[in-house]
Amino acid sequence: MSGQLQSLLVSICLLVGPIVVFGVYKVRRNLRGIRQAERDALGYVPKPEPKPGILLRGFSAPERKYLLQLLRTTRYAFPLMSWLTLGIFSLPILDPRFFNHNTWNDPLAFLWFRTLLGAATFVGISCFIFGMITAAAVLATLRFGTAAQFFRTRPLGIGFLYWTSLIVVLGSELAGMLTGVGVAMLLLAAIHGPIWLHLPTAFPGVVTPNDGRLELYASLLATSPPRIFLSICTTTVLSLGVSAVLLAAPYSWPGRQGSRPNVLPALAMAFGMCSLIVLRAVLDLNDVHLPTWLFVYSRLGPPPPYAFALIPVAISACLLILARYLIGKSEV
Amino acid sequence: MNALAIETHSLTKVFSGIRGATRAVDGLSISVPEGSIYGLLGRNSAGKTTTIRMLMGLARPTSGSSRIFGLDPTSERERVAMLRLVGYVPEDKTLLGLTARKLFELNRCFYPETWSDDLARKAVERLELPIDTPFLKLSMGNKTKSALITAIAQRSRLLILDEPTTGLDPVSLDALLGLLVEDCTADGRTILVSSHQLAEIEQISDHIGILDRGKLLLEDRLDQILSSFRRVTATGTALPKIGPAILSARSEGNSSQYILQGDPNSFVAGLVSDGATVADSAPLSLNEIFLELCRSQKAEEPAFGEVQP
Repeated sequence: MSGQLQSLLVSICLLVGPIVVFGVYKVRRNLRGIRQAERDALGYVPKPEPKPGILLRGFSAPERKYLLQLLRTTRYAFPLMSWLTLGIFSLPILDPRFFNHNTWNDPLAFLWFRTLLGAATFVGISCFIFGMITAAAVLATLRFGTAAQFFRTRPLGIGFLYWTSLIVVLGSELAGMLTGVGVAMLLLAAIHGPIWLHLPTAFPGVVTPNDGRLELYASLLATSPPRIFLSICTTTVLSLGVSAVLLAAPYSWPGRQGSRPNVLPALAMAFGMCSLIVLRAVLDLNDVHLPTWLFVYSRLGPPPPYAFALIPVAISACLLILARYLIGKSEV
Repeated sequence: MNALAIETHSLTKVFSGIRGATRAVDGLSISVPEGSIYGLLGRNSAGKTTTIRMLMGLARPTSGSSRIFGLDPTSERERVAMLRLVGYVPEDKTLLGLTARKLFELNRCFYPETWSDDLARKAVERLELPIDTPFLKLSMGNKTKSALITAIAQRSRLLILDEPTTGLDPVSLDALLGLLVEDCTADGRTILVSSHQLAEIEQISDHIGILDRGKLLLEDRLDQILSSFRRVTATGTALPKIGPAILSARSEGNSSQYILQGDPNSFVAGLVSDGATVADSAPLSLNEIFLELCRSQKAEEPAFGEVQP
């Protein structure tokens, strides 16, 4: 096995392993609790509802219950996203290969280059996927299967269900991602110091004429880290908007029921993945205008202006409002 | 005249598909009086579930309208007020949550003004539901019981039950019917129950609507329906084969067996005055009425559910 592959596998294990171990622990703990409850065979005596906190007092009892249920369901989203982002952003910091196998005379500059390259790749791939997952999580309670059938027949407005799910899920996800990025940067600064402040102004190594590394280094110097991190948020929100419209569209199927809840999510996700591939292909074209305008900062180099961050936010807001309209028209 | 809990006017649902459109519900107009137990009967694919899904706002009518206590389920403004008044058991009994206990604890908070823990406890005991067994391990009957208790304990003004007896054994079924009659119709509450299990519906319903191929074949009080159908065997010459009161007629020699609808007594009187002898005259059970109506409908319509050009 090559060293690179071995290193990749170790990295994946480090990233996913704790999540799997925690998941297994939680499932086993829940099963133990259920078995105990079955043995005890207690009668139905409901636990008293806790008094609502200040933030929840303005809501009606059904709305409070839904919000608490939502927060309960999404309570792992923040730590999960933090962990995943921290892991992805810390891989170059923790991987000794970056010091041993580089052709730069300044390993710290190379480390910073790999960190930003990882961040740009994160914008180009992970943010699109996370946006789609967020849309699926938000619309699951409104569009598909048992959850939708249950919550849409409780005395809760569809708008309330939609916007609260959106705010809670998206908020947890973005907060998790930004926390992960922040902790990774702190880790980098703690181990190696603020290397972004001490980059050599010329390429740190021996170069030959037409050496491609010169261009890479120039793009590193031109890159704006804060805008890459901002792009993480805007790209996720943009992908969320597109995916939400796709999932909320009122598909109608022939047959006894208007929709096939068990098939639709898979089909919609497959369609979303195809759209993602097409979108990526479009963005990868040499025409840099579209990614710039959409603030998809997925390549090292000169950044788009800060003001352009408003464009994906505005587009996404329109798409999310459209999705809200469509979800009101959709069948479960 | 009672106020109406549910009323629909020319409610229609057409599903479009590659092979053409299917008219699942076709101009349905029903009236469910408040305080009644209304049995919505029909064969498989008669349109019962689609009708209920439209009433609950889970499907949108292609045309026509419906009202629940005067509230429009398709209007977002009226929907929430309507849902406060309705308990619903869907056809698909897949349940949300991990156990029945957790489902009850979740649902009770959505109906803080009407939910009854005592009624939930009573129903759990009567139906012998294991409330801490995970849904994955529960039998179909126990899943049905969980869904039913969740809706019953809401004590809503209207209970809509879509195939509520799926998987229930006779003992549980008897207990359920008892619960519905004793506890759910108190205080003038209304129940709409859809089923093709006619014997159970006949036990508890006071109003019946019979649906076939999306169309309403019959709607009335149960006692009115039972009294307006009769099987009459008559002998004589030149017995009529068709007539406004004749739903079906089978002749054998000089004897005919009629299934009569509407005013059987005046038809029988007419036969006698024409010189025929009435050998037998017997009421029909709801099951027989249902079968006769479905047969006569089948004979009238060539294609099932297809939208006519």
